[in-house]
Amino acid sequence: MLRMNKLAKTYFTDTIKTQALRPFDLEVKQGEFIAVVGPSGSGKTTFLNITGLLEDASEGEYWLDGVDVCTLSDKQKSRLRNEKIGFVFQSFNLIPELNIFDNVEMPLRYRKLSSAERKKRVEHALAQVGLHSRQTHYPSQLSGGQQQRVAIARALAGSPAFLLADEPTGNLDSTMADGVMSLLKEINAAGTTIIMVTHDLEQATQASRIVEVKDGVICEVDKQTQAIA
Amino acid sequence: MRDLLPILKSLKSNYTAALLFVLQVAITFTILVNAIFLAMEKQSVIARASGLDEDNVFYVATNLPVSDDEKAAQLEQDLIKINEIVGVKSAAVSSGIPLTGWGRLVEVAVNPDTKYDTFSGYYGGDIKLLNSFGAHIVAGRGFILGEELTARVDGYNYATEAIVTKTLAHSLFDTQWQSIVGKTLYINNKPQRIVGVVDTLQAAWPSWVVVEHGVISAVKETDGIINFVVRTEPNTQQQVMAQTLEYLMSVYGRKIDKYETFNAVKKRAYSAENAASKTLFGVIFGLLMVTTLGIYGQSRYGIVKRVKLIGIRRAMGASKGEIMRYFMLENVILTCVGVILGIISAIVLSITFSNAFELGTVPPSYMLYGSLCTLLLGQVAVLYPAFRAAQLPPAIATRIV
Amino acid sequence: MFIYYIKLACLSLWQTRSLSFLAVLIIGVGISATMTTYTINYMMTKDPLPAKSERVFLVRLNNWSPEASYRNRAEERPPTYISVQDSLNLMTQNKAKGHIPIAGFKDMLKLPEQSAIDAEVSVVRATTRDFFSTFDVPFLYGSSWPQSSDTTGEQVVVISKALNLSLFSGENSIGRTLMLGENQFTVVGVLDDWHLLPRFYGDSMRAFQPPREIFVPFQTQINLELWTSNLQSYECWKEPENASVAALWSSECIWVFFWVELASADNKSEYLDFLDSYVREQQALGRFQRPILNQLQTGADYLQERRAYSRDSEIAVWLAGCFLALCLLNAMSIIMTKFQGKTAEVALRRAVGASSADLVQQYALETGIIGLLGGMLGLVLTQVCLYVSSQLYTHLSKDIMNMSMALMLATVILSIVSSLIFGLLPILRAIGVQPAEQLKSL
Repeated sequence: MLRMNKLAKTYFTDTIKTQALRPFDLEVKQGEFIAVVGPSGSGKTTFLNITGLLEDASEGEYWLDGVDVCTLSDKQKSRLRNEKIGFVFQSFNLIPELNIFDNVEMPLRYRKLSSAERKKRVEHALAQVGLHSRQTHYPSQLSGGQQQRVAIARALAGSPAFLLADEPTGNLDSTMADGVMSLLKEINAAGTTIIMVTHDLEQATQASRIVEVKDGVICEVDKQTQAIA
Repeated sequence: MRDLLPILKSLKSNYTAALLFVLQVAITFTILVNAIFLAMEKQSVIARASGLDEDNVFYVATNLPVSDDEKAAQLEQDLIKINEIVGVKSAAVSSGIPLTGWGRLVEVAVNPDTKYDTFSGYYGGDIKLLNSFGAHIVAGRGFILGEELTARVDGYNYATEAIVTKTLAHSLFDTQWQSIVGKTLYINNKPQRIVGVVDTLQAAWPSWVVVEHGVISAVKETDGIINFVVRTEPNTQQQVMAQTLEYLMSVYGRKIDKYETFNAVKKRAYSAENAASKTLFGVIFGLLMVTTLGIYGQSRYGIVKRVKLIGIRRAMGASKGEIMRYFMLENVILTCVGVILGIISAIVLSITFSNAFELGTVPPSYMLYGSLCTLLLGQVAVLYPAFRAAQLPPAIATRIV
Repeated sequence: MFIYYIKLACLSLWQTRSLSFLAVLIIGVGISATMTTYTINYMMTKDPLPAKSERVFLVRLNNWSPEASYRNRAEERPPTYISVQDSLNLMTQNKAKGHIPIAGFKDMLKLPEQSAIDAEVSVVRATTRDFFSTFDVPFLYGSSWPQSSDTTGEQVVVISKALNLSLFSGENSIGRTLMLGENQFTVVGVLDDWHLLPRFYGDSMRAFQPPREIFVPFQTQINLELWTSNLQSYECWKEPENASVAALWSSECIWVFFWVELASADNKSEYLDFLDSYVREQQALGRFQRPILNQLQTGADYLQERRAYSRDSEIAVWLAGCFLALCLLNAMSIIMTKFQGKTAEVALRRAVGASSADLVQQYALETGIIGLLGGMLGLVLTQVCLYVSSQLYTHLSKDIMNMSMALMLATVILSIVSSLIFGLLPILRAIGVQPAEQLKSL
């Protein structure tokens, strides 16, 4: 469902040309759970941005569900983001002025859905993360783990083709982190593809595949080798 | 419109900035509507017709430099000579000139026993005076040769016929004003037969309540300083004026007290109104500048503050257009609230002004156009900040921690 | 500590210079609009003779036709001017400290050696020497004419500084002569710059125009029978006996504004009693056939009654006041934006032990500096606006567009105070942040 051919990213500043990602190939199949690991500054975030259509690649092809996204306009990419991709951020990125229900509903507002349909989906998504009873609370009234669950519910509400999680446990203590990880695994088990950036190797091993980014080079890591290393 | 609810909710939580914005819009609207109304009032005063052929009339105030018993003859000769100048359509003598600030007023009554019904401006001159002013007869007739008299001063005490302005006729006879022709008018208890009605001929004082009231009689006055009113063919005013002065100065002992085109008179008469309306337009301009700058600045920094929010929305699939719409809609909502508040305070201010300063109140149409203008202003001011917001790369959602 | 705060404030202003500049600009614009309109209105409505306004009065006598009240008013009020004979009588009776008839004429002015062609129409003020003392008129050269000139009507003249400049190139011209029409006058005094605003003593329509340039004794105008029919308003309920100027002088025609200066405000009733007895005396002679309505009116009341004060300038002040409020709100939101970027700094300062009072002081100082700069910019803009106004309001004396030191000081203080008041909310909001919450997000 997700295929990248010779994809690369180069940044140009005034004087310096920086190769953030060297050309790489990657294919992700429906239902996989992929962990992206690597030290900070290695190009993880760039990889995530390109995968999430937040940034354009400089060269190469990127096929998402049979569509070459490099040829799409900004508007079409926005539409695609809205329908196919669910984001989960390290810092949750909930909108503090809106309550939980409204936060989860936000991506749905960019679709032509009836309010009854939106309500149904939001409630379903919140039920999935176990926060059904907190609809009218505000983000500041929740713990970090609960906030991240809301963020996951928001990502799920649009029934995306895959979830993109950027260090989803980075701002959480270990108990909460475990909760979020098991929630993600549940979601994956239910059929949603997940691509997760992390620096926690233990978490990475829980994924079905591991991709390592190092100095702009992306390579697949054999789970067994990694575990031994 | 799907952004409406989120906008309202986020405004609720950040009410101080929203309140400031609304207050600014309200004050802008209040001042805008009242200032435009006042400026328009001034403009309408300036635009009032004087009743004269304004572009082609000038006057010369001068003396008759001969002994008292020769004055009538000198006046007659002056009039003949001035009328002979090429380019003169009509020249006459007048006891006063409209809007100069110096003239006569008379008390007018319709019955001999009531001392007066109203005041009126007064002009006395020869039978060519109305034509020299360029005033239009709308009922009855002008003066005819046999009606012309000469007096030393205060011609209205000698006149037997009078022509009045339409507004005066209206004040005296209401809707049957045309029937005033043939009736008798009493000025200082002396009867005068009304032979005609002129459309408009303003009195000497532009700010007088009854500036539109006028009585004209066919009595020339010879004492002191007299006014020659000269109406020229189009585009000949300058040369006719020079020739008139040249002729007048050829008479020994002549003193030219003043000469002025009527346009100059009018400009001077309304210099206060002109200056006031220019000031008001200046205020309006400054107001629009400050408000536009203010809305622009607030939107711009409001957006800088919400970079993260924009990033999240972009990541969630909002297109550039949707981001722009969000901020423009937010602006519309705030402006509308401000305008509603503004309408209330504009009405309050307008009523206060009209009570304190004897002004009219601002008509509803100003409120409507003012609202539309303010909304437009808000949209224009927010356009660029919203555009910039839409250009923010969606990737900021992952960068900002 | 204060120096430290100033340093911090300047540093912070520089860091947010575009925002600070915008705030200063907007405050400056608002202040200048308010101060321009206020200055004009203040100059137009101020008391022109603060020390004497309660004892200088316009004398109004009810000299009008036995058949009707003056101007047919339902509530009878005496005319604002009196006849020549009453003016002369009141001066002869000499019951007040000063008597100032306001009369005048137009004539051709030239130097004796100039030819008639160079003569220019000039408007002359005829009055008494009391004019100069009562209205505190400053002299550059010489002085007002002596008492004897007022009694006998000598041909002496006092001229303005500007006229002295154009006629005598600014030299001390005492003793020089000039021609008014056929008559030769000797210069006895040259005025220094003199602005009386509002110029209440004459025709109310000209209250905001500069004074005339030539002054001669009232008695001289009377003696020489100098009369200009289209110069000032005059009203006659009874025709003069004949066409001569002498007949006009002795007629019931009214046109002389007659002011008196009393020794103190307490003498007012005394002088009114005198006026009553004077009118009764005249009634015995067959004059003043109407009810006695003598009145002593102050200059301000006179101008008020004649509606000389332009309401426009007052409206403008109100509008400008609203405009200032708008500008301050605008500046307030800018300052708020400025401080919003500082929540982290506030939290850090509080964490290192600054009390909220310390922080209020620091930020109030910063806001105060914005106000000060705004006020100074406003002052400069006000001068520009006043200059533009003086070009625009050609019907008003240029002196209206002058700002006194007190007003300038008031401008800057107004700016600082209003900036502080309007800056208070942003300051308190900035201080209100909880240290813990903000530090966590650092």
